Amino acid sequence: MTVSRLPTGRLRISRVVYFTNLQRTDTLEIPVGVVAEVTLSTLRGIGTAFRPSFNADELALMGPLMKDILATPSDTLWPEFLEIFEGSAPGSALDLFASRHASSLSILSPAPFDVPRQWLLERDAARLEEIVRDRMKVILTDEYFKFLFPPRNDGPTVDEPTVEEAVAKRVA
Amino acid sequence: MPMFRKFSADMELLADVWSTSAITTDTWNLTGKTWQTNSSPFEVSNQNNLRGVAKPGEVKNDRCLRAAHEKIVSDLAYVLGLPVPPVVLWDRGETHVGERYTAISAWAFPKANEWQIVKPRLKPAQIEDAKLVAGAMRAFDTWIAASDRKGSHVLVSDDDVEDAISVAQIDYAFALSYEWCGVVRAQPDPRPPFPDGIGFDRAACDEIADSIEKLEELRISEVVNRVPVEYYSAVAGAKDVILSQLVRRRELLKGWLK
Repeated sequence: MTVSRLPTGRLRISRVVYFTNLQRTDTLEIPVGVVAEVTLSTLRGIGTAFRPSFNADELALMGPLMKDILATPSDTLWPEFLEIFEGSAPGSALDLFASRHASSLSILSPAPFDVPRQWLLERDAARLEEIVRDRMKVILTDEYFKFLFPPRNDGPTVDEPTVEEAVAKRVA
Repeated sequence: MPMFRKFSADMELLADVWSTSAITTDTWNLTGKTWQTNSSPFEVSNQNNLRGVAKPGEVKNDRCLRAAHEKIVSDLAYVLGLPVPPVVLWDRGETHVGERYTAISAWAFPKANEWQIVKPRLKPAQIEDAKLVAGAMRAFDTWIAASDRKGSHVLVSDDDVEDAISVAQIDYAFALSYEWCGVVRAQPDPRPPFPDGIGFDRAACDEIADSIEKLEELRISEVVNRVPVEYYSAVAGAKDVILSQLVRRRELLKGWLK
């Protein structure tokens, strides 16, 4: 009998929310976007889909520092997440990122997602990178719009999702 | 005398009530929000829309008395005028599946950011102000054997004030009996000052060490005994150990902080 080990992987996505008042629930919570981390045996990656901007009413409800940070989330939160990703062990970037933002700006507990079977079976590293990148963008965009649904008055738009991948050496 | 605790009047009203009671009589509901940190905290709100963070969110078999620790530390900080948000215990009832004995911590500020986010953007006057808190909390954290201090456990109010800073220190699950009952090895004393990376004010440290030394044993025991015995049940003798260590360390504190 021949026994082969099934490849495994993990895909998790967290919602990012801004609490306009941490002390009360009868206040507005502003959706900021979604962040994701994928960990496969030969590839790890992160992705984000943030709102490109906020309207004047939303900005007026933010504290001065966070208003500054959220003016363009992709210019502030994405580099921070990327730095954490590059300096962390596989599969831990999302948790580390979340531990840095757990108050007014909160990265909520990640939800696990089924890893597409193709990601687990693809043996060509370059091809794997390509399919993960493409599919991650679709998943992130889908989750982003689910989060913002129903549509907001200003009409939700999304930045082109950013996905960074690091391909580890394929284990023989 | 510097003011270390700069919570709003409303928050202090809440603290007045919570710091002299043990178990909440409010009705609390889960909002569905959770965070992925060690104690699996989850958000709750009461009938007046007051938001709180409850923990632990699941049964943890690591002998850490999270809820009891959070409550005792918050109540002691209140007595000393230190910036730890009010905490109340929430018994979820015998029919609850999961961890029954939890603590709810209030949010100190309407808007707040973690220290590591705020620190690079602080004005010089705010750094000087933060040093006072760091000094005071160095004495307090040493006394209670706080073993899990980090930047993300220091929250800074996100407001328009530029010449001062309002800080809240959160998450004291890993203090008190966590080291004293041998769950983990004791860390060296004194404990590092938090907020970190700015130094600390010596006079503020001495002032709080002095206040702790003068704290009557009766007052300390009142705080420790306020927590119902069920909250100590995971570690045999924990309540007695906590009380005796708080009294003993109160007398040793100034020596460690020299």
